[in-house]
Amino acid sequence: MLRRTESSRPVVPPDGRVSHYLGQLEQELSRQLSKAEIQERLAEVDSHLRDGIEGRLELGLDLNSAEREAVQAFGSASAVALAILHTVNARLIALRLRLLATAYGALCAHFGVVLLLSSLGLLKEAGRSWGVILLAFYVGLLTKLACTSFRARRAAPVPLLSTGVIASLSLWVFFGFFWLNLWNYGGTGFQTRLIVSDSVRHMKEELTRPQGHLTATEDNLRAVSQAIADPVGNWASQLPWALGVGLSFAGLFTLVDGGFAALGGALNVRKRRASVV
Amino acid sequence: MLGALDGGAAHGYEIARRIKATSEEALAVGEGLLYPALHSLERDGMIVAEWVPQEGKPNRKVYRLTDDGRGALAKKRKEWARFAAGVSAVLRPGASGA
Repeated sequence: MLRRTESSRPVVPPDGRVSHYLGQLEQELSRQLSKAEIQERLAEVDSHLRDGIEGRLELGLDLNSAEREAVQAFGSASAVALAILHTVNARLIALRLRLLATAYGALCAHFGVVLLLSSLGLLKEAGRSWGVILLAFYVGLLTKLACTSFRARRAAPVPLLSTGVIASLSLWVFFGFFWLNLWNYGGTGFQTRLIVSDSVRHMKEELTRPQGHLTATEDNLRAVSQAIADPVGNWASQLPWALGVGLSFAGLFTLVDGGFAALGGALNVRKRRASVV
Repeated sequence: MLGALDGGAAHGYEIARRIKATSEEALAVGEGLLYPALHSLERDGMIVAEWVPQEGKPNRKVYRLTDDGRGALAKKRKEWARFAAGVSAVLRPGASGA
């Protein structure tokens, strides 16, 4: 039903085909954009379609034909959504690549500092543990950034949570293959090599003391021999810990990622509203 | 799009209509694809947008050129004129000298 204004131009209320089109577009955009951003874009599309329908009505078309042609001329909802998300993603990819580069730089700096302090004998066991935790953080962050960049580039409907799961699984694989047991030396791992070198150093220190004891060293060497005897079992036994650490970090990254996306959306909407006449 | 806005502020539908009319329908892209490009130009500072209230209808977003946009448009016009002149020269009958 049409209403007339003082200017005698027909005013088209939202109906049928236009509402359906806006619904489709909203569904496509909801994969990545915030509610505020989607509503703003839909308002602009709605205004455009109304103008298109009004123009065609003035040319003498009936309402049904005017709506159909206006929607056709605008383009399919999926194509329009893809174009919108492509420009959004291009910006996001640039930002995430910068974050990735920053994280990589921080990782290199961290390793450099740890190696330097270790060579000076300034890092004890606790320091090395913190080094492992921080390494886990960086690996999880890099994996998360890679997953979200991939998802943004493909504009694929991959839920945000799945990138967290992928990040945690990557973390577990990293810990399994490169840190715990299955890295070179016939099944002994990087950690095992560290334990062996530490044990030898402790033995030297203990033997130089008047009343030295080798209990801690014996425990270390027992753990090492178990790891060498059953590397897969030892790796599997670390699974709950590695998965827990990985999932915790992945959950944290997902939360931060979602928080930044919401903040970015809110800031964009506030900036545009500031220009309202 | 910058060229279409050179004639004055316009909303998305009007921009599409100007492009189509000025080009005598030689340029007729999907109207929906204009908006991602408009938003990119807005982010780059070439154009600014404001929501204008309308009587009896929802607000309408209107775009206009900024000074940076006018500068970019002038630059693009020069580049295009040079390019078009070059292509025309090559395509002119007997231009190759063969």
